[in-house]
Amino acid sequence: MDPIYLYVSMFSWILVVLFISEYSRKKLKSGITEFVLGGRRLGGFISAMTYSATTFSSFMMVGLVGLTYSGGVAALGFEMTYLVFTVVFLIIFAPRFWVSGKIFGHITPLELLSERYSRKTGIVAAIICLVMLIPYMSIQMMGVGFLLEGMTNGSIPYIHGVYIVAFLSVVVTIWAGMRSVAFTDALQAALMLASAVILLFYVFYAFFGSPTCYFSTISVENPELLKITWDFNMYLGLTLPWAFFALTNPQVSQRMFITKDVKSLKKMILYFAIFGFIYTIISTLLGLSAANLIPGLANPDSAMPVLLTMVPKLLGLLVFIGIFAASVSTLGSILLTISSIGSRDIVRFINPNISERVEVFTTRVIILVFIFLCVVFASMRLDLIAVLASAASAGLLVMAPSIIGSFFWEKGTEESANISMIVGGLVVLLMYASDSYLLDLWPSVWGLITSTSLFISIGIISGSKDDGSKFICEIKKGMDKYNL
Amino acid sequence: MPSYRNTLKAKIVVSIMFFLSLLTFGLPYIILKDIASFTASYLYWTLITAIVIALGAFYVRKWGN
Repeated sequence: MDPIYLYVSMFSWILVVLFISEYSRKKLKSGITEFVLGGRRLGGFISAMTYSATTFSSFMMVGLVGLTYSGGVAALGFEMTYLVFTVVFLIIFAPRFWVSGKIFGHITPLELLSERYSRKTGIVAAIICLVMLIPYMSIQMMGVGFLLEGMTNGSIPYIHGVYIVAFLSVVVTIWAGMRSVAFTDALQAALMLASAVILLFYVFYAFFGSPTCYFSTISVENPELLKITWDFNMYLGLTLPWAFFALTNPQVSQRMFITKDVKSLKKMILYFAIFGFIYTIISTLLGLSAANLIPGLANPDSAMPVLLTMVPKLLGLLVFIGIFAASVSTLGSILLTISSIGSRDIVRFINPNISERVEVFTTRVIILVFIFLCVVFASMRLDLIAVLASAASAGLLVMAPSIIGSFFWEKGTEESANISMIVGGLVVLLMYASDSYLLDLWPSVWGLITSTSLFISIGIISGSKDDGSKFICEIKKGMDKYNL
Repeated sequence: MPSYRNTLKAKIVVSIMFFLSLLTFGLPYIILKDIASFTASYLYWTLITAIVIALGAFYVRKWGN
C-alpha cells in the first residue's frame, strides 16, 4: 500500500482524537481525582468502552490473529478463558474495589493494598507494576510498527509507527487525563469493533463465497487448526496470567473506581463482556482465514498486515486505523495508570504533604519519562508480541494472592504480602531470563505457586484475625449499603 | 434482609460460574483435543463463555435494588 494513504489516514484520526481531547479538557476540573479517575463520574457506556479499549489492544488484531494463524483453536481457548475469568472476577471484585474507592478515596489500585497491609506493600506492588508494564506498553507501539512496515513492504519504517503511537498517546493522556482517555477510548472501541466486523464479512464473501463456505473450507483444508495443537503446559503458562488480568493489571483494575453509581458499574461489566466476546470470535476467525489464504508466513504476527494488503484500500485503511486506535487507547490508559502510581504510591510516600497541583504536574512528568523508556524498549524489536505480553502479565500475576487476600483473608499481613510479591516476582524474572521451565511448567505457573504458598504460609505463621478484619468489615458494610 | 451477595441464589450462581471457568482449562484437553471440527473445542469454549456472560448478567441485575 502507498505510504501516503496511511499517513493521511493516521493524520486524520489524530485530528479527531485531538478534537475530543480538547473538548474533554474544557470540562476538566481541578484535582488529582478528576485528572486520574474523571472525578468518579463516568457513566456505564463510557466506562465499558474505556475498559474494553484498555484491555483489547493491537494484540487482538495482530497478536491473537497471529497466534490463531500458527496455533489454531487453542488461541481462542486462551482468550475465552481470559474473558470467562474476567467476568467472574469482575462480578466478585468490581463492587469491592468500587466501594473501597468510595470509602477510602483510593485513586490507584495499589493504594488499596497500602490501606489493607501497609505503605511498604503499596511500594513493592508499585515497583512490580512499573517494571512489568514497560514491555507491555512497548508492545502497543511495536504492533503498529510491524503493521505499518508489513502493509507498505518496509516503505514506512517500523520505528515511525512507534513514534506516532507514542506521540498521540502522550498528547491524549497529558491533555485531560482520564476524561480525554475515556472519551477517545469510547470512539476508538467503536471503531475497533466496527472495522473488525466489516473486515470479517468482507473476507467471508470475497475469499470464501459465504460464511457457510468459510466454515466448510477451513474444516476441509485446515483441519489441523481446529485441533488443540498447544501442549497443555504452554496453554496453562500463557493463559494463567491472563485469567487474573482483571485483578493484577492496574490499568484495568483502576477502572473499577471510575463509575458514578452501581447501575453504571453493572453496565460496564456487561457491555465489556459482550464486546470482548464478539471481538475475540472475530479475531480468531480472521486468524484461521489468514492460515488458509496466506500459508507459510515466517512471522505469524505478519498475518494481519499481509491480509490487509489483499483487501480494498479503503477497508484496509479502516482496519488499520482500528488497530492503530486500539494501540493508542491501551497505551494511553496504561500511561495514565502508571503515572498515577508513580505520583500517588511513590512520590506521595516520599513526601506525604505534596499538594494536589504538584501531584498532577508530577503525574504529567512521569508520563513523559515512561514513554521515553518504552520507545527505547520498542526500538529493540523483540519478536513474538503475544509471548512478550504474557511474560509481562506473568510478572504481575504474583500480586494476585495479596489482592484477593486483602478482601477475603484477615490473616494476610504486610510481611506475607511483601515477601510473596518480591520472591514470586524474582522467580518469574529469573525463569524468563534463564529460559528455564522447571518440570516443564511455565514461569507464570511457578510465580503463582510461589507467591500463593508464601502468602498463605507466612500469613498463618505471623498473622492474626485482627490484621485485616477492620478493612474487610468496612468493605462489607459499604457493600451492604449499596446492596451489592 | 441479607445483602444480595449473601442470598443462596447469588451464591449458587457464582459457584456455577466459578466451576465453568475452571472447565475452560482442562476439559477440552481431555475429550476434544484431537477432534478437527468447529463443533468441538471452538464451539465448547465459545459456549462456555456465552453461558458465563449470561450468568453474570443474571447475577448483577439485582445490584443496587
